[in-house]
Parts: sequence; C-alpha cells; structure tokens
Amino acid sequence: MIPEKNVSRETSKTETIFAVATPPGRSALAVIRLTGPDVLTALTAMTGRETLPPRQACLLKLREFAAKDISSNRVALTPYDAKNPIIDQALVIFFPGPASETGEDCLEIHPHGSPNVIASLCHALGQLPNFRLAEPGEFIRRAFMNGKMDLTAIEGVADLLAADTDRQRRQALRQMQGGLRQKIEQWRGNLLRALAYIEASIDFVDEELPGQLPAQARQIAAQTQSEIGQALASSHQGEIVRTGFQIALVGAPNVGKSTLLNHLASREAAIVSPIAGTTRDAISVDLDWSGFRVTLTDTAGLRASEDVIEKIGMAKSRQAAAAADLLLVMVEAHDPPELSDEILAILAQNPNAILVVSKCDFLSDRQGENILSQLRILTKHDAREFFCLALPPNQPNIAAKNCENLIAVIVNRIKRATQLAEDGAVITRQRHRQALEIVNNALLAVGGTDRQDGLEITAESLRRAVTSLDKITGRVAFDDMMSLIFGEFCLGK
Amino acid sequence: MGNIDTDSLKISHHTERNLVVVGGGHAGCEAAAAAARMGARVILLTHNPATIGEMSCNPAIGGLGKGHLVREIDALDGVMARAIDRAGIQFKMLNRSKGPAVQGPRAQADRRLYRQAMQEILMEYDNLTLMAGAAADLVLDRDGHLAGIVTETGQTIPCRAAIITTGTFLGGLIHIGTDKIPAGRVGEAPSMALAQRLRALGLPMGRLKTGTPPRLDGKTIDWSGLGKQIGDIPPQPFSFMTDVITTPQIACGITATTDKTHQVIQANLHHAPLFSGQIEGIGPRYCPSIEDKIVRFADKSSHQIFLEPEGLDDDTVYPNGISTSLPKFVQDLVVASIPGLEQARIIRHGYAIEYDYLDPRALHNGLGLKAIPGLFLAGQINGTTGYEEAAGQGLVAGINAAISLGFDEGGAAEAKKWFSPDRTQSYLGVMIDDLITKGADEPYRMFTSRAEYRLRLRADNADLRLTPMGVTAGCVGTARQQKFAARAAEMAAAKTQSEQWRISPSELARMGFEVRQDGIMRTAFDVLRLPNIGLDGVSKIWPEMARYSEQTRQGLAAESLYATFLARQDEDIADFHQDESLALPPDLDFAAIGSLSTEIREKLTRIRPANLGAAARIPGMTPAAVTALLRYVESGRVRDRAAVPARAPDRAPTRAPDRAPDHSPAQKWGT
Repeated sequence: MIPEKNVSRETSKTETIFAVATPPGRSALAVIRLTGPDVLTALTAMTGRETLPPRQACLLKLREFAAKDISSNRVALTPYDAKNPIIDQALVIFFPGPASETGEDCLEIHPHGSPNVIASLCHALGQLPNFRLAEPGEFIRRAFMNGKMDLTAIEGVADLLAADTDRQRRQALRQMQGGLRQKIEQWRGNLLRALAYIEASIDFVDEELPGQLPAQARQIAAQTQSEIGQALASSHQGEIVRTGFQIALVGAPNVGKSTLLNHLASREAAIVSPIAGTTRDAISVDLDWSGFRVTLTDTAGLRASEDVIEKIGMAKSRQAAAAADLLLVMVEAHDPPELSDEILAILAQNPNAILVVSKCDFLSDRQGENILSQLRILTKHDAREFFCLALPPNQPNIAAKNCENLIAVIVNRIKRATQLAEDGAVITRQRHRQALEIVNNALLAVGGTDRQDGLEITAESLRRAVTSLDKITGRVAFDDMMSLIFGEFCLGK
Repeated sequence: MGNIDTDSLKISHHTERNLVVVGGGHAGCEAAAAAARMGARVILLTHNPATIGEMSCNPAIGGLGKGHLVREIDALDGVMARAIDRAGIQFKMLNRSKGPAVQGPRAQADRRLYRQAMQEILMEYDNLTLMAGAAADLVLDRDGHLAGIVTETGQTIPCRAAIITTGTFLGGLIHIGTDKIPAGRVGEAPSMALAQRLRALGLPMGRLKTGTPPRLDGKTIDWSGLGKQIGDIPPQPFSFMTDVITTPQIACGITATTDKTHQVIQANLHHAPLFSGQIEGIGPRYCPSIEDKIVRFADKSSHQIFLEPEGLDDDTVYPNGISTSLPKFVQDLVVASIPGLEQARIIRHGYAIEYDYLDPRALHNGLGLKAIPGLFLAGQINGTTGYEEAAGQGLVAGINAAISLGFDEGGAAEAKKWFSPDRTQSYLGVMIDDLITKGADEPYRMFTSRAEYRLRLRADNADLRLTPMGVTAGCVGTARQQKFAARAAEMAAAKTQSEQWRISPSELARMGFEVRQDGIMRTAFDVLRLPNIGLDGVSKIWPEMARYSEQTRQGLAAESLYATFLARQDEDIADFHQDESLALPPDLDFAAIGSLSTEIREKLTRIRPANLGAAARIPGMTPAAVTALLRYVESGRVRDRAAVPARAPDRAPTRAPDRAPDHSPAQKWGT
C-alpha cells in the first residue's frame, strides 16, 4: 500500500545570528542585535526571563551563563542562576516575528560600550547551540528572504548607510520606502494591462471583443514609454546625488587652480607654489555644499611639456575633465587673454563649462570688462558663464565672500542638474538604468497606435519589457546581482 | 486492436509487461495508442467500447493553443489529428489575418465519423486489447508500486503500469436545476468506487465543474434568417500525414441572445445551481455558462451563439455559447427567446457536471504520480478541460508508462528521465509544466499566451520541433519517419538556398519593390520578411521558389518573419536551460534550508519541484527563496565534492570569510 507520508521532519535548522551594530571602540552605549528562532533562549540564559513584552525597553541584569570545563576542554552550559556573575546591566528589547525588521524574532541588547563587556557578551552568545556571529549583510538578507524588503529597498538601505549629505540621505530614504518600486509597479501594472489587451485579441478571436483593444494597448505602451524615457533622461541625476557631483578644475599651469581648490576646501589640500607645474597629480576633495556631495578635482596644468611625470599628470587631467559633471576652466586675467589651443578646444567641447577668470583683484572694472569681451570673442559662445574671481591673500574675508559666490553659482548648476531627482522616483543605479533601457527599447519597438506590426510581435516586446522591469525589484530574476548587493553591507547591517 | 478479452487468459501471463489504460475518451485513446506504438501490451478498459472516441461536449477539435497541441500530438505520431482529418466537416484556420505563430487550426466534427475514425485507427494496433468494464480499485505491492487494476466485477488485471483517464466520470455528479444525478455523462454511470479509493489513498483531491448546452433538433430550427459561417476553401488538414480532406464540408449558423433571453435568465437565477451554492466545484472562467455571462457582464445586451451541426446525417445541433445548468423549463424558455430557435425542439437539456480531480502538483513531468510508481494520470483528472489538452497528456503519459515498463529505445528508463518536451520546445511542455508547478485552481485550458516562447512554438513547425524527439523515444512509426525525413530535408534545403540567393536594392527597385537604397545586398531569407515583398514577392524574384512545397514556403516565411526575435530568445532559452539543469534532489529536506518562510517551505515540500527552474515558477515563490534554494543546492555540491576521498579533506569552509571592513560602501567613500 501507499507508504506513509513523511512529514514529521520539522527540524528547522535556521541559525540564530548576532552582531554588534555599533562601531568598534569605547563608547557610552553599544547595540548588539540578534535575529533567529532562538533569541529567547539567549534571553533566558542571560536573564532568567522566558520572554519580554513586545517592543518595550526593559532594564535587565545580564549574567554569565557559560563556563568552560577545563578537564574536557568543552563548554558546559549552566542554567540561569541568579548567583552567576553579572556581565552588565542593559536595556533589552524583544521584537517578535514576523512583524520585526527581519521577519524573525529579534532581540536588541543595549549594553555599555565597553569593549570588554561587548566581547564577553559576544563570547557568551557564541556558546549557545545554533548561535553564531552574523556574516556581512546577513540581517538584511534575512529581511529580504522573508519578503520584508525588495531589492530597491535594500539598495536604499545601503545608500542610507553610506549617505554623507542631506540630499543623499533623502534620496536613499525615498528609495528605501519604495519610491522607485511604486513607480515600477505602476509601469508594470500598465504594461501588463496592455499585454492583456493584446493577448485577449489573439486568443479570443472568435469572441466579441472591442475592436480597439490593440490600439488601446499600444497607446498605454507609448504613454509608459514616454514616462520611462523621461526617467531615463533624468537617470544620471539620481546617480549624481548618490555618487557625488564631479567638478574638475582645468587650465594652464599656474593660473591659480590649486589656490582656488584650497579656498573652496578651506584647507591646504593641494600644494600651492608659484612654480608652474607644481600639481602633477589630480587631487580630489569631497565637499558638502547645500547638502549635495561634491567632489572637486584639481588637475595638473595643461601645457606643452617634455617632463615624463608632468605628461602623465596632464593625461590624468584630461581624464578627469572628460569624466566631470562640471568643468571650471581657469584662465588668468591677462590683456590680451592667453588661451592655449587645448584650452580653447576644451571650452568648445564643453559649452556648459564655467570660465573662471582668476587674479581679478588687480584689475579695474574697465580692464575686467575689456578682458571679458575679448574672452567672449575668443571662446565664440555667447551663453558662456563667466566668473571673475579675486582671492586677495591679505583680505581673507573678501576671498571667502568671493568663494561663497562661486559656490552659489555651482550649487545652482547642481540644482538644475538634479531637479528631477528631487521629486520622487529616480534611477540611482546603473543596474536600474540598464534594465529600464531594455524596457524602453522594447516599448519603442511596440510603437505608436499607427503601427501595423503583428500582435504577436507587439506582445513579445511587451513581455520583454515586463520581464525587464521585474529584474529591478527582483520579483522574478535572480543571479549574481544578489551577491553584489549583499556584499555591499557591513556587519550587522 | 484485439477482441474484447473477457476471460483475461492472455492478460494473466507476463503481467510485468501489461499496461492498462482506464477510460476510452480522448486522453485514453491517445495514451493507449502511444503505449502501443512504444511496444507495450496495452489493455484499454472502458465502460462501453462503442463510445470510444466520443465527443462528450462540443463537436469540434482545435482552436488557438489547442490546435497547436493537436499538431504536436500528430508530430509524435498520435491519433487525434488523423481522426479529425477523416471526420472534419468544417475546417478553419483561426487568426488567419495575424502572424503564423498565433494561427490555430480548428475543425467541426461529425461526431459519429470521429468515433468511427478513432476506433478504426486504434484497431490498427495489434498489441492493443479492448476490455469492457470499469476500474474500481488499485492493487499496490509492498513497496507501494502499482501491481494491478481491479474492475467493478471484482476481476484483477495484474499490471506494473496503468494510466487513469476517467474524465468527468470520477465522482461525477450532474446538475440540472435542483436535480442532482450521479453520472459520468448523461445516462452513463460514474466511477464512484475508484474516486473513493483515490481519496482513501490520501492523494490531494478536489472538485471541478464544467457544463454543456442543450442539444437542438436541426429540423426544427428556422435557418432562413440566420447568419452563416463557412470554413476555409480548401480545408487545411491537421495531420502532417494527411494530404487532402475528402469529407464533405458544411456551414454553421450564427444567432444571438436577445433582451428576452436575458430577462428570462435574470428572473430565474434563484433556480440556478451555480448561484445557489449547490455546485461546489470551480468552473473555467473562460468557458462560462450563459447564466454566468449574464450576471458577470450585465451591461452586454447580446451574446453570440454558433449553431454547429453534429454531423452530416445527424440533425442534432450544438448551440455553442449557451452552456447552462438552469432547470429544464427555464432552458425551454431561453431557447425559445433566441432568433431562429423559436420553435426549436430540445433533444437533450444542458447540464453542469462536477467531478473529482487530483492536484496535478502530485505528478512528475512524465505525468506519473510521485507517490505511486507505475500509476499515471491524464486528462480532466489532472484538472484540465478540453479534448486536446486531454489527448496531449494521454500521449505523454502513454509514452512514459511504456518507458516505466522498459519499452524505450533511448534508455530513458535507466537514466530515470521521462519523455517530457519542455516549455521551450512545445505547448505540451508548457501545459505539463504549468500543471505540475502551478496546479489547477480552475479547469486548465491552453492559450497561446501561456507559451512564453510562442514565436517558435508554431503549428507549422510542430513536426520539426518534436518528431525527432519522438523518433528517439520510439513512439513514431516508420511511415511518418520516412515522410518527415523528406520534409525536414526540404525545409533545410530551402533555408540554405534562401540565404544564398542575394539581391541588391537597385535591382529590387527595378522589379517594383520599394526598399531603402542603401546599397546592401539582401538575401531572399531577409527580404521575405519585408511586408511589401513577402512570399509572393520572393516567388516573383526567384521563380525557383516554386520547387518547394507550400508547407515549406510558409514555414520559411514564418522563420524569416520572427528571425530577430528568435535570435534574442535564444539567450533567454539558455538561461532557462541553466535553471532547468540545476536538479533538486527528490529527497531534498527543505526544512534544512535556512531563511525559507514556513509557507514557501510547505509549498516546496508538497510540490517537490524537480529543478530550480520549476521551483522558480511556483506561484508565491519569492526571488529570495529561489536564491536560498540555489545557494543550498550549490553548497550541497561543494559538500559532495568534498566527500570524494581524493580531494584534500581540509577544503575551504562553505561559508565565506568575513569581509574586510573596507568593502562596505561607508568605508569606501570615507567620511
């Protein structure tokens, strides 16, 4: 007869993991987090309490519970005993699953931030059966496994942890709370509807269906495509906020690039000297301007040189200039202006570059106007933004004021460049952009309402679009990107 | 087909080689024939041998997705296509105006001719024996393997493999109004004992529902004012083996429901077992009864009805579109409210039928029950609806039941590999994979939209896709093998030739075809897909095209039309096969995989997907769970390798070492 069903093997082997969530070193308090099925075992072992009221901070004495038997070299667990030595007195909070962050039972211990207390607690926890120290990113992985977060939300957490500035933090929070996901779900919903209209027109040909279904589907696809196209066009903006706005200072040697950098960075980051060609390597400083992360790179001056090292430096300058979101091209206030062919070429290729005229502190207004009008003619660009910079060494207040003015000009540029990133869903990663580009191309192939492609071909393109969207939130696809994402997390989240 | 063998003399010997098919419907016929082609000694057990090949519901074969299935059955030398080619009285290629991938053949059948054709075809198999009777019980041996089938008269047929194809007979219950009649079809007894036995075995069972319209006397229909629908001229056969259709062709009538129809139904909904709670089973959404349509689409004032004659010399008419289980007196009023049917006489009233089915997630991809080796299931018992779906499963189950007895040419039994074309190869694969991974919440019907690789799974290339597989498995007879070899060779030659013929844009312009004058030479294969050139244009440019058959030319045109999409799909298919090749051990302990939610763990334990791809397709599976499975299986492989003594015992631990802190983004960026 039929063999009995073997269903009694309900031996869950999910381990309970723990990690110190605060940075190493001495501090007032530290946080140790635990997640897994046996967190209450740890609670009982340390405090004698079976459980705690959910989500309430309780001040408890934590006692030692493990002792090493020297003769057998084995760890013997001793049951809770009120006579055992106290490790620390700490706030303990119990978060029962599945309404916890990881979806499992969680416990938070807030001991004093003494390295010895933390080490003792970790050592003790590690002795419990089925307990171990968490791997990097493992808490969040469990949250993901238990369906608490999708991929975009996890990326948001990664970005939040890494956020240095307000804008980065706001963007990361938006993504963590599902801003991108909501947008993608909306697109996906629309495209599924379009696909359904097409499929119905294919599979139910002998039924009485409204004849305009394919046209409606194509219209939905076109509408969604235009939204996605717009998001793609603005996609660089999210990345700018996330990774920082790259500004490169370029110009001939000794026009004052390093001086400006030091003023802007308010510290001596680059070596300044009157000897032309002093800066041989590209030097970057990270700055926070009005909440934007800005990376300002000073580059070696560009000139004809036979010096091998200087030539390498200049090659780096050109690279930095090519990769920058904004170029500050510096020229000296000379009458007539001296612009090398290379500087002119850079200006021609970068109509948005700001031309910073340095050493203006020695000029009269009329001289300045004269130089500017000559520069306008030389650079053949009426819309060019000029900035006359004076950094008088003996008047630090005036220099600081002028720097602030320049910063205001640059921040305006950044705001314009990231305007879309401020309102709602935004593409913050290369991975998102690549997937959306496939979606966009597939939808462009669907075409407008006047397209005469076969319905089965339209359906094929729509399917491709939906599958690609799913790759962003991780609904269907899985691959190496998982390990990439989880690799981004440090221990204990 | 042998004589009816009541004394079971022959049967009692060599029991190891016996294969029993229970049921003579579309699944049963195909299963018996397939197993016989594989070389098994087949006993077809059925209530009444005269009803073998009966069309219980609508007198038609094929349709969208369904027609594709019939072509695939034919490609594996099945019987359905040949039967309908003999019995078809109106052939129509659906979606003729759309692309070749979504065109599906359909044909109205003469019900009597179809039965006759099916019985004649089965008669050609010498190793197929017919037996009248009903299955009541199963015999299992000590290992839980199937050992025999017990009939209702108490006779035991020893066998090591059986295929159950009971259709609506398993626990069948007919509803007409408030009347409930235990039956498999009107006037035929249901299989109650077998249903009880399967439930007692602890198999996961459920109830489904389907329905059928009243049948009308065509002599009493006023055809004069009705619309007419005729078939294709000339009719295109289903089977790759049929050259021409010789059966006379007829037209169908078209009428529609009226306001009065809707009023009658609205006024009598309280009599409808569908809404009173009397019917527990779930019916197909896409094949609703007329009362269901009127309730759910209240704003629609009229529903189309096709009046399909059931035969050339049969006056019975099947009114397609008014399936119902309303009481008989309401059905009389409904029919009388329809134009042309005012005076029509109802020969037999419509009804709903509830029946038992088994959750198909209990099956492996060879359509055998995972819990009972040797027992295979096909058709409505697996939660499907439709003749074609049933026949397709019958075919696959028949081949695999034979394989389980050792009748296979490819050594599949030793490799423990069932004959099961996959989703990238066939609609059969799509259907079986859907059933065994997703189950059937409602009766499962095939649509072309279920096939994600639809552009390559066409009716025109079913033989090119599947016949070679069938030849390897051993289910394709020599006649078809020969015909197919010639056809495949011609197709290959035409493809090669079409890629060699080249033409310049200027020459095309000279011949009157507008193309971009980019100076690029184009092949015949490439210009074939240009809408303003097509097959006609290519035949004009290269008159030698005429040397190829119409079938080859059409096939070539389809390949050309979809070429870019097919090439792109190749990548997806490579991914698909990678996931399919990651086998999950049949005894995998899902409880041992950390971080799976209880719900997913239970699902996986119940369904036991054969590989990672199948697991990913289970509804409700999260990508995270799939990743966890992947990690587990891969770490398992690491452990297996570590177990090989030749390897160093101190392998690297499976858990990755803690990362250096500077890998975290916060550290990378510095603060």
